[in-house]
Amino acid sequence: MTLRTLGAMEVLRPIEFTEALAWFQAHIDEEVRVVVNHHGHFFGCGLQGTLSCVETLPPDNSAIQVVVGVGEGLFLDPEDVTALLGGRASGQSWLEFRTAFGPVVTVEVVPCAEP
Amino acid sequence: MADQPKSPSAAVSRARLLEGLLACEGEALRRTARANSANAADAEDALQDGCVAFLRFFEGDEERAISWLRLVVKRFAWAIGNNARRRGSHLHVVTVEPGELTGLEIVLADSRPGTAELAERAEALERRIALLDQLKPDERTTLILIGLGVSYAEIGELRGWSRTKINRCAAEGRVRLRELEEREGEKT
Repeated sequence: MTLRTLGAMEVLRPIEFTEALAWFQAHIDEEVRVVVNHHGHFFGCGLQGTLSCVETLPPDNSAIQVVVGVGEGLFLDPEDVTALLGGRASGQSWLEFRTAFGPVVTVEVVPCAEP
Repeated sequence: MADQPKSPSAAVSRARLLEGLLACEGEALRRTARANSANAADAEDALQDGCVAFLRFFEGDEERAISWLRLVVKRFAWAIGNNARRRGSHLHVVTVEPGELTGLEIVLADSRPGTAELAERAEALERRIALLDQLKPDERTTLILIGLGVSYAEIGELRGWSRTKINRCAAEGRVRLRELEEREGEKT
């Protein structure tokens, strides 16, 4: 029998929404994958593209849109979500937004393909 | 040197862009607004508000314009719906005896104070402040600090007073305040 290391260990911690915004800013122009799930339900969708920008939205500028690709993306209101930051031992991190009404959104940088 | 042709201002560019969007995608935007609104009038309002917001705020590339506008129209539709629900929650139906029934009566049961009530409250507050001025300084300080939520222990620390003194100031201050209020009431 051999012992295996905890190489795949993951940590998920709650963060302030501003920290999530900083995460987005740090990954502008990178390829990201956005996945929506409602755990326990056969429901979800995903999209992948370049993280173009993060902008606030009228009328009150309280909500934000995270633009992925040409114009579509993820939009959410900080009041409706809890933000969490996930991290793997490899150093890779991802964001998770949990809503009180069910769906969970994760955003992660797509690792560059190996040459 | 020949004059360079002036480039259209950002506002003019946005207006032209919006015109093009409404020509090509107007129907789809209306459908989006309608799908997210309670009725056709609200949907039209949401679309109009979205267009105004586009003219004022849109700054992205042309290719992003339609998705931005679609999303903002949805948000306006939801905001209009939320406002209507909030207003609706203040309405309730008054039941009347069958003989008195001349039509469905709906009254506005708004729990917020009206202008007259607010004015009365402001006057009462002013009177109280004037009465507080007539208390002894330590009594006044004690009552104000208690009113601000400062604990007895904290008042003791702040002022260097014993608990007995604070109790006495608070009790005597309240008695004196009531007497002043009664005297004031008798005058009016």
